[in-house]
Amino acid sequence: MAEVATFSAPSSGWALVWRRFRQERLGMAALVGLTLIVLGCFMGEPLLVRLLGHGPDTFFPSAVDINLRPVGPWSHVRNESLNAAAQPGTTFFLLGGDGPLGRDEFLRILAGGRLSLEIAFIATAIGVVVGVTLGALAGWFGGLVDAVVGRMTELVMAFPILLLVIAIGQTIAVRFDAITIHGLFEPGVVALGVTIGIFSWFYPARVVRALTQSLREYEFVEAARMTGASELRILRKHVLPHLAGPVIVWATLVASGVIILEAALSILNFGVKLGTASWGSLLSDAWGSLLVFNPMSNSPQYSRNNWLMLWPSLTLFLTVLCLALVGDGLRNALDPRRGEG
Amino acid sequence: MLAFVVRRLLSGVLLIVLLTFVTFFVANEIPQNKACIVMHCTQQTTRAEMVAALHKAGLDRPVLVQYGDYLWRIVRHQSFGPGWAVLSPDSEIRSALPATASLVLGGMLLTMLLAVPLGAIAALRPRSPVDHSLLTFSVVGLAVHPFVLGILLQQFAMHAFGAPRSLYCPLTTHAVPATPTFPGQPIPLNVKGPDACGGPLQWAAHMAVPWLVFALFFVPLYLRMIRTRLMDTLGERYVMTARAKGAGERRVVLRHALRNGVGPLLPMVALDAGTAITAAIYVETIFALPGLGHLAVVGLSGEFFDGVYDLPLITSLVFTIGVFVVLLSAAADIASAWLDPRVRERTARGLIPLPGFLRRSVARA
Repeated sequence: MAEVATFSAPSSGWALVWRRFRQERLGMAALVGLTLIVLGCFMGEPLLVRLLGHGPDTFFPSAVDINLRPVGPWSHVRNESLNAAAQPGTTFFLLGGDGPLGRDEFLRILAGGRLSLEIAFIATAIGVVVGVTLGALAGWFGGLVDAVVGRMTELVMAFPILLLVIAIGQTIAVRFDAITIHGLFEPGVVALGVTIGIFSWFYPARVVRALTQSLREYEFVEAARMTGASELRILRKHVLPHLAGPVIVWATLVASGVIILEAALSILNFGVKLGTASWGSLLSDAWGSLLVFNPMSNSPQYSRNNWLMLWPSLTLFLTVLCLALVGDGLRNALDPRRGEG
Repeated sequence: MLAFVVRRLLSGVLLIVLLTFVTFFVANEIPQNKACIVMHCTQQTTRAEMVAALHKAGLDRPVLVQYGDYLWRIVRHQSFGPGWAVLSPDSEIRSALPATASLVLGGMLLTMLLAVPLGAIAALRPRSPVDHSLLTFSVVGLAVHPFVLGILLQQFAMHAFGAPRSLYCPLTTHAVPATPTFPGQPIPLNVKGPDACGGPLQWAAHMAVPWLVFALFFVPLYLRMIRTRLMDTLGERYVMTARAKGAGERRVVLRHALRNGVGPLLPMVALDAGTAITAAIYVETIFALPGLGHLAVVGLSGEFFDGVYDLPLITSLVFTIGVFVVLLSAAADIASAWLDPRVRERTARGLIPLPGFLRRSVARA
């Protein structure tokens, strides 16, 4: 990976990478799948809400039976909800109801996906920006900067991220829950994303540091220096473009890690506040008896619906799998040893 | 070598002090009425009484003084002092240690036992069906959420082999919680009766599935790394030399390639010590093992202790986990430094320098 883009100019390089990536069948399929998931969550959900006439948070008493057991997949439900105006006829639940409250599981998965993906995006962006900055500075200047960044990396790496995120999230980040950036995000999303982000920068930092160290020795750097470019300008204009490829590959890895971590936080009841759907909270609702103290789930009347365990785990699995495969395909496409594709 | 060990341990101590300080500071910032935690508050409690209670507990002093006091108590009395919500963090942590230690150490061992042979098999037959299926397994294994995997394996083992659903059986004594505990419930100790279990056999039987889940958290990643490393090593000149000398394939792989290719794995294990605790939190939650991760989740969620965030318990947990992580990673670092002098120099460059007087006495020893 170290020699990635040094063999071709950045502009023609990306066209070449894209040409090679299109030959990666698995990577292309994963990219299509990922695009579908993202589109489904961000555009499909509002569209479906319009079409079906009910939202992800609408309660349907008619979607549960007398034992509060929700309807199964592919069901038509009387369109009488508790918290929205009643409409004539029936409405359609593709994946059935979500639990005793009788909400639409499919819409909740899409809405929850939006939340999970937003958190993943914020955290990955922060992790990559911080990681690239620190890693490039450490690799470029060496010495004291390198030592300080190296210690910080080890400190963050050596300690359990989950524990640190929980600790920060429960104590300090709670105060920033209200930040929504003019209603762009749900409450708590920014706080959680930033909290996870500040603990996700070390992998990119390590990779970028090693890459920068090797790039520093190349002739084009010397050439730039001879023309009188300042150190920071060389770093910005000549070194950073070479880092883009590997950083994108690592960003997919960080993003999949963040998605898994966010789900774990929600399962442990440390995620976004209860009631808001996210993939993790949908999982923990289905497995409530084990992970979150939910006295309801031990009563004999409440029998769990196995479908509800399947859907969120499957969505989570497919998203992370697609991210990993896109990363793999990109890594292959960026590999100079594979010749001109 | 001794100087290296001392420096490695010193930098570990520095790491722990830094981490506990941050935790102490952060936990101190939690908005909660500390006076009502250290005393019983009623409607009639006056402000003066609260101030007096705070003063009596020493909580009105500057944070730095409180932190110094906390550290001094650990050094002088080997105790974390009284807790706010739990009676004594000492006993809570002492009862949680064995479960986490057996989970992490056993799980790490199983990880290595699975990852090294599988990685070697994949590397020896690159692009064969075996290699492809192992790589597929590794991608899928990375994508499955650890909680999903854990619960599936738990249910499967329960129904197929009648494995115990959860609970921890101590290695030595006959003491066990009678029922699965929910977070926040006190864990009963020294239960006598039909539920009591213990001893190596039952310990291993209860830990088998948790170990597997723990190992499957790391195996996909390690398998890939070992495969790549070993494939690179097999292309090296000295492997060719070994083959040219007429060494058998088994000897080439085991003695020459594997030893050199897998050696650099030890520092990686060291860096993953923190991740191991994250994995332990997952596994302990799924299997209701009364370990440190379980305790951390309970202690940090606040709501299980009537909304009280137990600062001494939280800091003490971070301290204990820090010591655990530092010892694990120091052991791995020292082992790899002992195996490879180049690693020793590289690691030593990042360590804090010994003060002169210490360096001389250590060098003499």
